[in-house]
Amino acid sequence: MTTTTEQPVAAAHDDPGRRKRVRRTTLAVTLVVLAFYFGFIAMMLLRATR
Amino acid sequence: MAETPHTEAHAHAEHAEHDHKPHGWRRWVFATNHKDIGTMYLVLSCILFFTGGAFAMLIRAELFKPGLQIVDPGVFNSLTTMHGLVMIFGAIMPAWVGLANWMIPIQIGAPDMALPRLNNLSFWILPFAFLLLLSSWFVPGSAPAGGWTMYPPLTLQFGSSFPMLIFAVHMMGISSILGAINVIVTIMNLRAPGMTLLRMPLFVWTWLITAFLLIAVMPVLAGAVTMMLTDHFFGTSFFNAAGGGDPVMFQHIFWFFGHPEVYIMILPGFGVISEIIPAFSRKPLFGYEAMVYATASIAFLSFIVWAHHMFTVGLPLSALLFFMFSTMLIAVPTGVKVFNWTATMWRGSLSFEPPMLFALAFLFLFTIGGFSGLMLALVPADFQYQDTYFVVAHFHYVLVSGAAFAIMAGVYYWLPKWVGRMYDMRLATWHFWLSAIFFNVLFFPQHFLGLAGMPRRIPDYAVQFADWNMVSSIGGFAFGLSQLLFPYVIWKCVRSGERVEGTRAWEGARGLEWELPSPAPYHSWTTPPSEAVIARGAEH
Amino acid sequence: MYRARVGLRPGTWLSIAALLAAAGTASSAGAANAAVSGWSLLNLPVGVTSISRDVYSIHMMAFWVSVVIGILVFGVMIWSIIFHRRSRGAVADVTLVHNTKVEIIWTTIPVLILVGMAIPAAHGLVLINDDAHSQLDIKVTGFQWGWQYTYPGKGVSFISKLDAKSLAASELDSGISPYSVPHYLRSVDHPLVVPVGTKVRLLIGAVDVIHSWWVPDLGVKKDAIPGYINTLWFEVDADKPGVYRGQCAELCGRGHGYMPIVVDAVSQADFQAWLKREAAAEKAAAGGAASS
Repeated sequence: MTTTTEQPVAAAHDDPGRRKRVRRTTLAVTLVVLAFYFGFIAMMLLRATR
Repeated sequence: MAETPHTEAHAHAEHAEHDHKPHGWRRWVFATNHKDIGTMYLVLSCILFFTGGAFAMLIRAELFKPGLQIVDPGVFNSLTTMHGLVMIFGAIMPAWVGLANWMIPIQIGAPDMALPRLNNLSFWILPFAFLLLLSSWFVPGSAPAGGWTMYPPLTLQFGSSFPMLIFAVHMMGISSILGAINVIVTIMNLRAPGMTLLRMPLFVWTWLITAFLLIAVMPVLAGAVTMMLTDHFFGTSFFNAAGGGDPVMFQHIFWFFGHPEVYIMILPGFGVISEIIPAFSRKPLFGYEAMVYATASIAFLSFIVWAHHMFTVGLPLSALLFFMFSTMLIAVPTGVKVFNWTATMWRGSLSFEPPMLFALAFLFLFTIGGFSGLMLALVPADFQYQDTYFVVAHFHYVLVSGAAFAIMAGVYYWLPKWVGRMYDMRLATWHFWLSAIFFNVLFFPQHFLGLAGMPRRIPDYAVQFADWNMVSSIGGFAFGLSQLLFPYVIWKCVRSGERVEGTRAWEGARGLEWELPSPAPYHSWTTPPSEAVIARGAEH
Repeated sequence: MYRARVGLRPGTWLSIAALLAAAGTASSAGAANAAVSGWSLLNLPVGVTSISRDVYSIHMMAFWVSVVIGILVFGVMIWSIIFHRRSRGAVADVTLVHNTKVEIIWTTIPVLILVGMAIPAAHGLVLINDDAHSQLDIKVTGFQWGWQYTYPGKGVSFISKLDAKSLAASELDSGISPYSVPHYLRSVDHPLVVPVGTKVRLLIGAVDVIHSWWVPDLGVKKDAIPGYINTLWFEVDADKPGVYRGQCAELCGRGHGYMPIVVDAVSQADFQAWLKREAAAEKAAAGGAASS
């Protein structure tokens, strides 16, 4: 670990399968959030400019 | 303790080389360790708790007697607005995220949160959000004064502070969302083998449900304030009646966020209390699965009750009836929880250390707040209560007990694990009694004031309200001063508390955090705990 | 191992101190403030309309249900706290973790209680909502900061604001004691006048921000919202003429606390006389203004 900031420990000991699952879950949840976040605002702005 | 539990401490000896921590400011600015980030969240929350508390002291000072003595009515409105915003977004929510950071990885046997760098970002957004919000005191027109609920058109009337408010709310929302993503991903993926969902401690369960609430509703808040922003600066008319907009629509959108937000602040408290009461009753939690399902039901119901915050806006009869019935329904799962906690104490072997004292205060005061909540659900009666001090009393009974007291209970419970030292229990017990007594002196009379006809958010009042306001203010000053004991007890503990021997600071405590040495090593559960250890912790 | 060695001593001390303090304030206040009995204002007013009495009874029903449940639940908790404490040698019954029968009971009984409360509440709500067949309509418009009352078709429309005495005393460090002002912050220059024994319907709106029209004795509150016309109705008991006071209940800016509502309920005959006088006065004022 050569970086000044420490390598996060969570990644250090887990197996590749788990890492993949973490990525997949993060992606799924993030997509939901983005859809909510911008979807809601976009929907309202569209309605307003129509 | 008679039997020394088998510990995983030896398993950590070999990982001692991982206990090196970065030093100086880098440790904090570039923090990725869940314990460091948790600590930063808790410290920030403590600072903002006293900031919001200072605003409350000024409010109570102005209301000490009739007539206007201290602040201008506009400043008074800024104080109530900022008190609400700072306490909700600055004191309560970061405290829960801090506790989640500290405890969730430890409780599920994970080495850290799943997304440590995201964790760093979600924390570091917050200090800047609050710098922005608090600096609005110094701009022309002073701080926002439209209430924490930010109802338009009133909130649209404010000048320079308005965009600062909107931007700060956006930042807090993004921080909460990132924190929630992290919690969900961590709980879904990093549980130690054998830590099945129905073995998880209730604090983890309630936080998982809270995280889902957060990602569902924080975007809604962001949308609502963005619409207001475009109304103010870009000529839209979402909420402007003169342009064909609808001021009531804001309230629907806001409370669709706002009611789940109430449970975002309280559900983790339910979790903490569900850990503490069994520990100090020396008895497993009664009805563990019922507690999980009750929490999920409350979370679901929180999405379909929002209009009970706006019964007086002129909703149609059918809507009033629907929201009255759905709101009353929340009493059922909430009742199940209270009964389960009571049954946990029943035929237990109770002792009354500070965490248990605060948990009991939670139990009594939250139940009283639940009763006034039930009364508020009845629409005809709500027409009289709406926007009075009765409501102020109600939500402080549920929030100060459900959030603040539960946070304090959690800190007093886990502090020995965090620092490896025991705090001064005599002082903490004083903190409890002063808080519990003066809380009631402060807020119980507000029920009377509201019923007698005093609206909330007024800087001055008719003289018939003077007596109980004075009592409430005295209670307020005493309550506020007593809270200074809290950081002092913690400070004293960190500096010079008696060392805690072994793993369990409390005889009845169960769960993975109590299988670690005290203080918990900087990197814990780098090797997942064994099934036997997990099973011992999960004796529901 | 780390039991609180102090027992409950701070608590005992503080309880005694709090009791003494409470007794002290109550007795001294009783002596000094016999006239203004703020201490006795503990509950909703029963009010002077059928609605306010309905609301009061629903409120008291909910209150007593809460008291009974509270006594039961708190009773069990306190029993545990007293008798199941370790210092008395209580041993935990660790088998007591689950009981389906009990759990079904304490889920079902609350549902039944809630249904029992929902029925009168829903009934009361239907009555409150029924604003048909009103005998007098009055238009109410909230603004920053006061109310405009218009009697459509009667040639009467006036603005009602905080009275001058309250206004003067309410200034920051005014030096005027609020106690010296009659009905401080609860009196207006121009009250709303309504006849008793008459179903009065208010059509409520606002011009700038949201306000809320509330008079506790009438048992009604409704928000005044720009772009909306909300309605509410009340009928003051024929035998209860009098002056009923309230104030704006929705934060509406810096004058929110200074926006009282005063309703003068008079006999039908007096009301007709007032209406005639008021209409004539307004006409004269308008004529005078036009000619000058």
